[in-house]
Amino acid sequence: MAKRKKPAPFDYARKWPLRLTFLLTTLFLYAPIVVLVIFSFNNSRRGGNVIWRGFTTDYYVKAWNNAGLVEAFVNSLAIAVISTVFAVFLGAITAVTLWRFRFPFKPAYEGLVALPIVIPEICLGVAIAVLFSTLGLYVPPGAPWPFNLTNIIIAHITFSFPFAAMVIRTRLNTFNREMEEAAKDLGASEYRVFRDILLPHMKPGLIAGALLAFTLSLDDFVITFFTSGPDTVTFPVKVYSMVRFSVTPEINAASTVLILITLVVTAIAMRFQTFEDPR
Amino acid sequence: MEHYRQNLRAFAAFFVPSAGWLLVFFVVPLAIIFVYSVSETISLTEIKTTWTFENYARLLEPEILTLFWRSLWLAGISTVICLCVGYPVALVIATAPAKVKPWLLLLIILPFWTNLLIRTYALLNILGTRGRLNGLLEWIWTQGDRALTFIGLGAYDLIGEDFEPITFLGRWSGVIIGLVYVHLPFAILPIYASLEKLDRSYLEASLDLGAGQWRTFRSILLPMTMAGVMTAAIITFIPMLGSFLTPALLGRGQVDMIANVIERQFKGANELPFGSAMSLFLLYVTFIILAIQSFAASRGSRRGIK
Amino acid sequence: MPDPIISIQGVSKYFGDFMAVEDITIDIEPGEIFALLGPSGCGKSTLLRMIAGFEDPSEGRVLIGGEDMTGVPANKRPVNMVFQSYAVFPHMTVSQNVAYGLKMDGLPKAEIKEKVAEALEQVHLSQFAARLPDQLSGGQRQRVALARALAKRPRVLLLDEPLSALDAKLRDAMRLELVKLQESVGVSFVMVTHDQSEALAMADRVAVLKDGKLMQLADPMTLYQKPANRFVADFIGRVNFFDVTQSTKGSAEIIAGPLGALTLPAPVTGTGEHVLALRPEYIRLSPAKEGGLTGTLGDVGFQGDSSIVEVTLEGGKQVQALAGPEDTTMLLSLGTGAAVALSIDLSQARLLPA
Repeated sequence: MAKRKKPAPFDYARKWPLRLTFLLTTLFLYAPIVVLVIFSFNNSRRGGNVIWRGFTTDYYVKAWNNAGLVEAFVNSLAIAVISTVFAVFLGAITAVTLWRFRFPFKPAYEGLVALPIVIPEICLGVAIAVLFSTLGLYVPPGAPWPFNLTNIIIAHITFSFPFAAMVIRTRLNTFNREMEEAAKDLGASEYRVFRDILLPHMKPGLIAGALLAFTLSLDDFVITFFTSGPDTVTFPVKVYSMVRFSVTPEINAASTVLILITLVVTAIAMRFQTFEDPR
Repeated sequence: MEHYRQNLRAFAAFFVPSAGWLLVFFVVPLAIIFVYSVSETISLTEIKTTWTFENYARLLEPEILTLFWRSLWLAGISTVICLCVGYPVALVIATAPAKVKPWLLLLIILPFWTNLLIRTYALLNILGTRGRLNGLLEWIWTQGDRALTFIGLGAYDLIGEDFEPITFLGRWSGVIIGLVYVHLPFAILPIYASLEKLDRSYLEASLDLGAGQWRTFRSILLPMTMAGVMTAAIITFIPMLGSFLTPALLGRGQVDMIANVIERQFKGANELPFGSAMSLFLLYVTFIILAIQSFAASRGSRRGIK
Repeated sequence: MPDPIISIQGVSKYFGDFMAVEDITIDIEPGEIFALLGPSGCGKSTLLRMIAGFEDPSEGRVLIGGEDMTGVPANKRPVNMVFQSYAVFPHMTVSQNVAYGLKMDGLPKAEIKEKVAEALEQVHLSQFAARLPDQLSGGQRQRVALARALAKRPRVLLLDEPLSALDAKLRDAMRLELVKLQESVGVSFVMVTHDQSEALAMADRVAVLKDGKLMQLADPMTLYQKPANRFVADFIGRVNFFDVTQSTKGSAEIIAGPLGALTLPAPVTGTGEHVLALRPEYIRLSPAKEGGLTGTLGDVGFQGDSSIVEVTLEGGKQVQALAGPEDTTMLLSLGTGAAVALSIDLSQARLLPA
């Protein structure tokens, strides 16, 4: 009889109660999403999604023809892209400031930078919304796209750039200062050192920061909900209002598309990163 | 690191944009909220700063205290569940072979790169009285009954009546499931990080000195990863406390948490001063939790536990 | 004597209250290998960094090729450096690394290509030109750093602990190779090291530093045989110290100490000095006989071609002696605890300030 190998004492990954926990957790995490995706193809008018009534792609067509939904969707992507660009830029310069310089009240400043990460989203959402209303900073109703999204974009940048700064700073901490000195020693100016040596080193951090900022922006509901005006509709806000009225497979279809986009962006970014940084 | 005065222009170029952004879009908004929190609503459109503490006093009304208590309780229970589930999951990932480790991590993180609303909506579909979870439970129920028939206890003799669907939505159970679902990876990742840093020879030394598996877990593994567990607790508890969407959708307006009431002050009731006071109260609670943690962490590190 | 290529004149460096380098004056000649030797924290790296331009002296000045370098930034100095970690740029190929400095000088492309090829030839890396640094071994990375610095034709090449990151076997081979390279390119090398054997083996002249102060500047032979003070004698090679009191009897110098009263031979004289330094190779051990200096045999540390032997003198003083292969066999047969006689070559002893 072949004896089963007993796992080593601390090989927790091979103990069945732990494996079962892992399996059930994964199931718990994925089941709702999988069900959501499956029932986006369900041929049922009612959104309760209870009984499978056959395969259809009708609801994708319906979602595609729902102008309001498509507009909201495009708005959300635009917000994510634009806020990511700014967030990475601000995050990078914040990271370099904290990494490179000593200055008075530096610990306090570091705390301030980390604050948007730790405070509850609702506080930030409320605060920024109130800022715009108090100062009367309303985007004029006829503002061209995507400037009509400015308020939301500003809010997204504010909460996502500290995350980007954190990621980029972690990357900077692995920089060998001798690289900088070596470049100077070989005749490079401050600017050349930054461009030729520091920036290439930061690149994986910039990509990771961008990925994080992008997903945070797409993931956000609360802050968008509070800062969006009556005319600017984003995907989560639109879906939220739809869900409150009735649940239709159309929402499932649109959600599936958004999940797919997030997956693709993530996969691309990760490939990029492993390619750039083999370690 | 160089002193900022050594290269003032470079420092200014890097410092001013981000510090300026934080000032205008973070510090100023919070300051405005603060000013509102000590103001009074005069009419529908007018708010006057009177430096009153009336809004803070209102936080002590029984209704609001119940709300706070309920929020703390829901977030607390959910945090404990997250930690109890998160620790074994982190343990599995940390001790998995190096090749599968990144994939297991990805498996855990991936669902959380989808939009919060979509995730909550997905859960909403599952948790309904005629949703998938109840379907699954009913199936288990009837199958269990059928199995009992073989020993002569079938036809609902033992387990009683027909399956009764459990109501999750609009109950605290639904909200807790939602909170756990949304925040679980935040609990797993810090615990995983602290397990990853731990030198396995400590565990082997403990076993070598005669401690059993359970004893080793209790007196070596858990204390040495306590910092990770604390971080996990805090970064799940704080956002849970301020949750808006989960109670709104899964609680169906019957299990309100702080954020839902704040929202009503801003979007419906036009009670900006009171809403501001509540937001700031949430912020103060956050600060107190963080202060306690940093105090505990500094005490822990003085005792040599990192 | 030619003009010095580098002239360090009265240089001091403080970091706050901490005195990293204290009033050091050194001239480095063209074409020599010059070593800055000392334990960690002795200021040798700071001194090197002041030559390179990464630190400014608090006092004094550094001249390179006769020109005052005060206020000249690192990227404008005619010296180049090989860093301790080599600092080979990880995102550039070997040839891009070597070309980087030449590009900064604004040389035309064709000339850069030519010089890169030449520099890689010099360090035997031509076939690795297109590789990325993480595809290279530690020794190869070091050569990239060397080629990169030498391609710029510096007046002086600075090397910060050049061999410390290599494993033991490679380190010995690289010592010789570096010396050969220096002979073929002809520029002065200034190297920092904490390893005395490295400094002795490679350098033409060595400056020994301690706590930011210059202890002795001499060629390796002089450092070993005629250390100027107790620190240098101790830091370089093995040595026995004997506390002695000194008196004059007629024309002869008499010292008294654990070795008994001894009359010093003519070369070993001095006044007011109280430590006698004696290298282990000048103490010879034989089976004990009547009279003379005796001691108890301790551990025999066999190291192949010779042995380091511990002997305890009658007063309790521990002494190290170096025994050749034959003596080793004899001592091992006597066994630990046996009585042995010590014969001392006093002409090789040094009297140093206490």
